[in-house]
Formats: sequence, structure tokens, C-alpha cells
Amino acid sequence: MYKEIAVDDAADHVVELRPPEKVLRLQRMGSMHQTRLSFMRVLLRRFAKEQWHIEKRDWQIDQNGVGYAVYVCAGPHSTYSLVVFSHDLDPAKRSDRVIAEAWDATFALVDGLADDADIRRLQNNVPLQEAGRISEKELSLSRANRSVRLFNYVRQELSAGRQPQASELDAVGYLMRTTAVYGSGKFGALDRCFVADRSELASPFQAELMAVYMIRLFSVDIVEHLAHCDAPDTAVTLCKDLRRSLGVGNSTGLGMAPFIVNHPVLFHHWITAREKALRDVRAITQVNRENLALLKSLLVRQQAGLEHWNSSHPLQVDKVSTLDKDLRLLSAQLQNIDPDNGKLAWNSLYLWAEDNLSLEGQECLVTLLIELYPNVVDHHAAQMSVDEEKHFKINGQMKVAELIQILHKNYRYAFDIDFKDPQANARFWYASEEKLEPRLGERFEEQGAEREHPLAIARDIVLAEQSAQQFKSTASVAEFLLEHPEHRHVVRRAQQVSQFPYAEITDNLIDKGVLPIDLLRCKLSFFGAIKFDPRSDRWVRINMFQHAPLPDELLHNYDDQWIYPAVLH
Amino acid sequence: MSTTIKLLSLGELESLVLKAVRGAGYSWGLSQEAGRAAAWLARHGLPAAEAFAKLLPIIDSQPAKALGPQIIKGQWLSVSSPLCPVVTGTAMSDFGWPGIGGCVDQPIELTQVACPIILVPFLSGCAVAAGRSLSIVSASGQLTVDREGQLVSGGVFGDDQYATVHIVESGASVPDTNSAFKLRRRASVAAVEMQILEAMAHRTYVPASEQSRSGAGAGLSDND
Repeated sequence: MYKEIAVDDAADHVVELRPPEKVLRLQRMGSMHQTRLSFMRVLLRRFAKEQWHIEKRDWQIDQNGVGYAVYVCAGPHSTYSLVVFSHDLDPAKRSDRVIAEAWDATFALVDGLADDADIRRLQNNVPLQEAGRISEKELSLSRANRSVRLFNYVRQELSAGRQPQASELDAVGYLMRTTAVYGSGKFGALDRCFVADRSELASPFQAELMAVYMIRLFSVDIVEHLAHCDAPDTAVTLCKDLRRSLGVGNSTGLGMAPFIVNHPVLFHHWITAREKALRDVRAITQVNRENLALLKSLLVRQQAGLEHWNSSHPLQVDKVSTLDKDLRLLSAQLQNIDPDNGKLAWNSLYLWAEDNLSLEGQECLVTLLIELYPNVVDHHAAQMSVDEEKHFKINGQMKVAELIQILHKNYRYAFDIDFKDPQANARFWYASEEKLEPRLGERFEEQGAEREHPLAIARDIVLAEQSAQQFKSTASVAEFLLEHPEHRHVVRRAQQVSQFPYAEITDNLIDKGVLPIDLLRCKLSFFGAIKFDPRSDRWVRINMFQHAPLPDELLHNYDDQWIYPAVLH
Repeated sequence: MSTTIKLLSLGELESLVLKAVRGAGYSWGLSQEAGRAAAWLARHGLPAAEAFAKLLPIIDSQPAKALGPQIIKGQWLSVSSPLCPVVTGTAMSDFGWPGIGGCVDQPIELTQVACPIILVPFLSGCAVAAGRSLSIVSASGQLTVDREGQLVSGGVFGDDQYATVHIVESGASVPDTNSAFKLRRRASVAAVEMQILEAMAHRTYVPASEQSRSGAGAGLSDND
């Protein structure tokens, strides 16, 4: 354990928050790392603090891996069950696309203890995923496929009575990867508004991540089960260290990208928590030896983690290699910090990083700095939810002149873009009739641009401004919108942004060069994902809960820095 | 005719109505208002899907502007016939009460409102903003929201396709403590309503093509 400084030490906020136009550029968003405020880490801290019991309750799976299982997650006030349906999947049907129709395993998170009737009801629906229906008793619906090569290797080793090689496990990091985890209200599930007042579900995506944590348990249980069925006399179970080294993979496409654009006020709260945490740490006046030592140790652990950050995508290969160089530079720079004479040393270090490191390196330092001071930063995690309903209403009393003012003030970047340039207007976001999958099209090459979704914020802001300039400046926004309902969606955003400055990505989302994986990475970093591995410019694989404590390890000597595993010598 | 009822989550209904209204030709911003209104109605046990299924053919391909009220010197005139409750309700919300020209002695009269029950969620927003209790009155009934925007129990309202309605300040100056309305978690949608909503929503989707498929996933095998 390390000594934490008193909160008062951080009270002297001489450091300003980073401005939105610095933070919310796609390139920086695409370089963000998880922090201790990320939703997975919030969930496990709660599990540990409140002594949640998580266990396998029922296992009705045959030697072919077909059947169902139930996992239970019980806290002081509520219990949740993960009902698992395990299938024998034809490899020809194994796809990580949303348009797939069969999976190795399918899951539903039930509010409370799942009884036999629930299981029967779910059995007819959960394996069908989007084509089935769940009910108001369920909070999440998901599915996963095996990472076939690693899964088969582990199965073979365990059945032969051997532990698999750690290096083989590290190279992939998980036995199964989810291809969708649906939550609030989806496919019949209960809407979030009905459970948002429960303390354990108040933070974003806690139900979904609870399900993923239990899927992680299942992924190991099923491989052990099959190994045992293969060779009951020789099979062994996976040792704890290897078990802990496995997370759950996730394969995510564009579907996730529009979320942070469609929830501007919520997104503001996520970014604000992270930015305030950074500011508070930068504002700490005196660095002590323990904090410096901890930073050095975390840096070494972070560097070690890079060895297993595998990707074959050229963009990511470059990013990881740059980050590796950055972390060496950072390590050298830390030698220059004198804890006895280090006034605002963290701020100086951060400013040095801005001048000397890539965005990957800068954002990694942000993560490490935030990690040092739980007492200073953790309370910000409680501010990452918001009742969006309260901020939906447009202020119709505002004058058009004022609307124009806030557009100019908050969307400077948009007015610098020339949308007559086909490059700046090259793409359009839409929903395909195939499972309503969100997609990104080429405006000048594909059909369907007239069905564009409202994600071309910068362009639409510019159009709204042009209309507003033609309107009577003393008129009200109410009058303007009665005449120009086509601008309503961006007028709402503009009013929200003037109150919530981190609500808007300050880049052009329809530019030829836009990389949707930047949006995905930002969102997934807030979840707590690691090992970003883009498979294209719009598709990414990640790891969740890798190195996380196992259920019994949540109850005793919980290691809150699990995401930085100790370096083995 | 099928009477099958499908139970949707409120989020599903909101999303479906949003897309359906967009599919009918309204702007995204107005469609968002419609989606929210539908979820509000369903949550309060009012026939949301039924009302929107009736409304959609009326507003289909009509410019929203032509189905809204005209406001001259603070007075609301129904020049259009009929009035769309989404456009009118949104305007009520934007102009605010009594900015929309109403006061205790002078109710607003709106003639020929299509599916007027859809005005109620907007009325709720106005009531909260103004801190006053408001009622919507038609020949077939009355519904009241208290100043916290909650639906006051005991009201009835017809399912008229068109009606002339009056918006009035209600006498109830404090929240109605008896209005502890049982909020619903599900929206019931009859098969025939579902068909209309889905058909309209479908217009917002882009047909699948090989080129569009390449605009989504990695296109790589998952057998690794």
C-alpha cells in the first residue's frame, strides 16, 4: 500500500481544466486509456467494498458443451443472475458481425434470482438474440464466440493434465469475446430509468459490465468442463494465476460510435470527471517520495503490458511503438523530479509531456497521474451519470442574436471547415435495414445519403447559423424553430454545449479522413477496456477485465490496481 | 384484424416513434420530440402507439411548418387545418406558458388538432417550466398535469382523431398528492399499430448492398 495525500493538498487549483477543443479532437480521443474512473474499475471497487458474492449457481451443460448455466452476483441490497446458454456452433456460422445469427454462447442478466420459469422463458429467446424478446425482468442481453485457436489449445492442454503456456494466453488475452452487450430497454429489457436509483447501477453501464464479469467466469468454466469431458482421468483445472490473466474480449463495430454523439450531456459528464481528476492531480503542490515511487512502479508495469498489446493494424502498430518510446522518455524524465523540491511537479511533468510526447504518451500519462491519488480523484466517478431528460428542453425564449453568439463561441472549428469541399463532406452515417446496423457510407458513391443520421454536427451547425443570420435577430428561438424545424436538433445541442462544454466532439465526423475507431476507443476507454486492436478503420477488438481479481479475491486484500499486473521476474 | 399486443420497453417505443416520424418526413429535432412524447404517454398509461399510428398517415410527407400554429402578436391562431400535435406541442414548449398567450381568464383554443392526446406530454413540460397546473379540455374529456408535470389521476380523454381543444390553467395550484399515478414500465402496441410504425420507420433505413456491408464490419473471419 502507498500513502495517500490528504484531499486538502489538492485544493489549490492553480491549474485550469484542459479546454474542449484540446481534449475532444478525434486524434486525442483515439489515444485515450482507461483510468481508475473507468466503469469496470468503479464496479469492482464497489464489489470489493460491499463484499459482493459472485458464484456459479447451476451448471446443466453436456459433454458437447450444450446446455445452460446460472451465475449469481449478490450485493447488500440486490442480487443479479447471469443465465448462460451454451451452444455447439458450426464454425461456418461464427461471425463477430451484428448480422450473425448464431453464437457459441448467449447470455441474459436477470434482475434477482433466475428461477426455472425464467430459464425456460429465456431459453426460447436468448439464443435468438435480436430475433428474440427479453422482459422487464432482464437488464442485459449479450453473446460471445470462442477465440477458437486459444480455446482449443487450452482445452487440449488441460485435458492432458498440463497447464497451458502463459505466453500463449498472454498473446490473445481471452477465451471468449462478446460481439454485442445490449442494455437499457433493448429487445424488451427494462429501461435504465427504472433502476438508475440503485446505488450499484448508478454509474454508467454497470449492469452490462456485471454481465461481462460473469461471462469471464463462464469462459474458463466451459473450457475446464470440456477438457474434463474429453479426458476425465487426466484433466486438470486452470491455475489461478492463468485464470486471472484472462479477460473477456469484445469485438465492436460502428454501432457503438454514435452513442457518444447522441448523448452529448452524458458524454460531457464522463469527460468532465476525467478532466477534473487530471486538473486536481496537476494542482497538487507537493509531490512526496511515495507517490513518485508509485508512479515509477506503475510506469514499469504499463511498459510491460505493452509487450502483450498485439495488433496487426498498421495504425495501431505505429501507435504502440510510439507509446513504447514515449514511456522510455517519461521514465527518464521522472529521474529529474526531486520530491523534496518539487513544487507542482505533476503539472510540470504534464506540460513537458505535451511538448515531448505523442498523444498516446500524453494520455497514458494522464491515466498514470490520476492513478496516484484515489482520495483526490475517485469522488469524480460519482458524477459520471446524469438525467438527460432534464436537459432535453430547448430554451425558446433565447433570442436569435444570442443563439448566433453561442454558435460562434462554441463551434469555431465548424466554421473553419469548407463543406463545399467533397473531402469535408465525403461520408454519411446511416442505419442499414440489415438488423438496423449503423454504418458509414461514401456520400458521393453510395445510395442512401438522403437517409443520413444527424451526426454531421459541424455541417448542420453551419447551416443553422446561415439560417439564423437571415432571421430577425430580436426574434426568439421559438419563432426561429417554428419557421425552421430542420435546425431543431443542432439548436438543442448548441444550447446544451453552452452549459456543458465537453458535450461536443470538436471535429468533422463526415470528413473523408475520419477514423471511427477513434470514437470507439474513447468510449471503450471509459468502460475500462485495454489492448485496443483495430481490425479496420471502423472495427476494434479489446480486452475487458484482464487481470481482474477473481470473485474470492474481491473479498480479501482487493488489489485496486489490478489492471497493472505485477511484472514477473 | 389481429389484436396481438406487443409489449415494448419505453426506450424501444421512443426509438420506433422517433424513426417513424422522421420517416414521415419531419426533421430529426421534431422527431426526437415525438419520441420523447410517446415514451411519456406510455409511461403514464396513455395510448401512445395508438395515437401515433393514427397521426402518422395524417402528417405523412407534409411539411411540418404547414401543420403548425400561427402566432400573431402573442395570440395563437389555428390557421392550418388540421394542427399537428407534435409541431403544436413543441411550439407550446418553446414559447412557454403564458408566453403562448394563455392566462387564467383566457384559455388558448386550438381547433382541429389531430390526435390531441399527444399534446399532453408537452403540456407537462410547460407546466413544469411555468410552475403551474394546466389542463387540456375537449368535448370528450379533460386531462390535467400538476405544476410538477405529473398527470393528475381521474382524468379522461377521448381518442378523437380530430378535436378542438382548450388549454387552461387549472385551479390546482399545488401538486396533487393523490396523483401518485402508477407509472408503467411497458408500452403496449397492437399489431396493426406496430405495422404502421414500422413501415414508416423503415423509410429511414438504407437498403443493404455489398458496398454498404463493407461500411460496417472488419469483414474478417471470427474463427481465430
